[in-house]
Amino acid sequence: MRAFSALLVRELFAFFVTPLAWVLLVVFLLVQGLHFSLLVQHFSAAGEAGSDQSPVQAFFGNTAILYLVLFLLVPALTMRLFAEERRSGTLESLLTAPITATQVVLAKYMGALLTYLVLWLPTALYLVVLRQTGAIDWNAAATSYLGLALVGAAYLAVGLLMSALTASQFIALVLTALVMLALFIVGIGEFVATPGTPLYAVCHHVSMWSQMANFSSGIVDTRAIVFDLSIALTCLFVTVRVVDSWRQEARG
Amino acid sequence: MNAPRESRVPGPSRGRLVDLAAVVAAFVVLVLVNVVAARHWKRIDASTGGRWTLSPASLATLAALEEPVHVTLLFGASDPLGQSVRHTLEAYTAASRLVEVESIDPDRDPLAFEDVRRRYTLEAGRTADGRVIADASIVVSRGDRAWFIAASDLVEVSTGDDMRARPREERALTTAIRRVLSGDRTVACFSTGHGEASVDDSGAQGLEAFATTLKKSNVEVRSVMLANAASLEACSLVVVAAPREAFTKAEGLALEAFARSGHGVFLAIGPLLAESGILETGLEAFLEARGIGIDPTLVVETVADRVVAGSRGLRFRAEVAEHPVTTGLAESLASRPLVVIDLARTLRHVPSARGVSAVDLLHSSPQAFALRDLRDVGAWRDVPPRGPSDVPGPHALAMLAEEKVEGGKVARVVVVGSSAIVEARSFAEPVQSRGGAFLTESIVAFLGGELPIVDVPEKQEIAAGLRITDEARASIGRYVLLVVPGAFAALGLAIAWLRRSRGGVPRGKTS
Repeated sequence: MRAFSALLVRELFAFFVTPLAWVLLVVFLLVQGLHFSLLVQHFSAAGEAGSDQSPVQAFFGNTAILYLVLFLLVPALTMRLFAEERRSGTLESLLTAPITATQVVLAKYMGALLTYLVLWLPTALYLVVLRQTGAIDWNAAATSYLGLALVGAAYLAVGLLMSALTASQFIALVLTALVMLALFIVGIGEFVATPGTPLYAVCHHVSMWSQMANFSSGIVDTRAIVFDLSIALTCLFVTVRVVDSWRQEARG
Repeated sequence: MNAPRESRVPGPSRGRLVDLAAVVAAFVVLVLVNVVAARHWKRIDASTGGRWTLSPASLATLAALEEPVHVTLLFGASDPLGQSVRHTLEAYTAASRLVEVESIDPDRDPLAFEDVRRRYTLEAGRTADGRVIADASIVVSRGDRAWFIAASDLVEVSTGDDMRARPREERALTTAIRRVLSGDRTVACFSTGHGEASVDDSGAQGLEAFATTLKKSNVEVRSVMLANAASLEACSLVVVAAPREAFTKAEGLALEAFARSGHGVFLAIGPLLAESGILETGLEAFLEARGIGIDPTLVVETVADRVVAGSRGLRFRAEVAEHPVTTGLAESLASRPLVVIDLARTLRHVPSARGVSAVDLLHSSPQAFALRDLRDVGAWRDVPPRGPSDVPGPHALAMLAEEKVEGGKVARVVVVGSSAIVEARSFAEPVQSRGGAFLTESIVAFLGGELPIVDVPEKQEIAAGLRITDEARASIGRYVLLVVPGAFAALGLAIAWLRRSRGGVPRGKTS
């Protein structure tokens, strides 16, 4: 446990002292700020629109900008996790240290996940701003963040696995983005498939759009929780197997 | 050296096979777990006020279902209400397998939409941004019974300072399901036998457009003979639309008995023109008992900007009084459809023996007058001057009387002194001057006395828009685009400066 904690702290520290972290954070906040600002404009202009959606719902679930941000953010966060260690040659020392493959993988994963959550944290200030213009459904806001955490948990695990599968950060970034895009495209297939068919059921189950639409409305659906956690656990399991195979090779 | 290496070769190979099998097994487990989760799932409504949780009344309605109820959604992908309705319907389908939902996107699937449009005679049009919309957003059906839900039934948006919306999806859907189950709906009975046009007549003076509009509002339309009292038993209200002949005394009494039993009566009676002048309607006594006098006159409007060009003052824009029936049409609203009246007779307040007092719904301008002598009408080329025998305005053109009757019921009578308001041409007007058609729908809804379903409680209001000043919006923009990112950029720069001042060595590594 101590080794895990030390490794986790090292991961977080290594990230937040690099310019990449702050550039990523500032760009992320600029994009989210623009997203929020556009929504404020839309909702202040849509007085007679006959909509019953709230700005919180729209921010967390009903615009493509949210998914665009995730496509940029997650691969950038995970691309270096193993690929950087392999490039710089520090992987050998990590593998020969008295620490299990599971601890290595979990420490890196938790580091990425905590970083991801920290990046989202400042967006809570938007809700504080919004509160001054009217009531906010804080429960829906809380479930929205839960949804973001679950989606992030799944995608970061995919990114971690991709980083373990290649020595190139760029290829890891591209592979992660491709897998995320594939999942997203299958998900939006629910808008094309005929309801009631197996294809629709699969698309709806995988759909991140539906998932975030639910969470942003204050609905917690067990299907979404199981889907995200099962993706995360499966990817982590495979990553552990990959790292374990490196250890076995390293120990020769 | 070679021997040990050869002995290690099978090891990693076996290990890789085991790894491969474990990875395959993991993905199989991933699929199986999700299949199970998709079959046994639970939705937890964490929203404030339980917006997506069905009330006990709705659950009881669903529990009582014995055969499938089909719900057809006609929402485009970008419809602002589509998502809320789908969330609500998920709660319905989770509570009962007998609720079947079909979703048709009018923009993406025009053939399926056209099929539904024809099946239920829906009206469709396009919004400014090109979306296809219909006059019903949801059709709930069971067998040949259908109930239509319009977008305005699904949400009530307040336009006060704090932009709020009250969701009504559950109330609308539960009402619709109950209606298609019970068949309990407003029945509008159209009188026949006095030269009235048929409800199937699609000509310019026919009533088909009016009847179709009522059917879309979930009103059943029938034709009846007033003389046959038994035929009125199933009626919720009687509509006397555009008669050309007078009613008999017996028919007037039948209408009186019908109204006195707590029902509604809607009369759209213009001047009954004959060679001898304007005939009496035969319903004078019926109306006088309710404080309404109906005159054998013809209204001429003289205010130029109210008169339709070329109509010689006989077709004009009426002034609309404030009343729940005229909501959305009142003069005080800046943007409203205009109520255009054609060939109207005058109405007036008279003392009622039963103490009923009527209220005006429409009236002419004070400059209008009422003609008694129509002999020269054919010779007019323009708005005629008022003659000495003509009655100066303003004149009431539509009136409403309410009277409490036995059993705590209310008998409601609305009379409009023009037949044209219910004819097809009224429904074919451009939207900005289709107020007359909208008024007739409103009158029927009012007379039908559809009581809201009160056991499905109101949902909590939500903020659906922002009422903020331009200054506040600019301030929010500055805060989220400059202040927040700027603060974190400054923090990052401070950390970078600290690292440089320590010679680029992270503290963790120094220690």
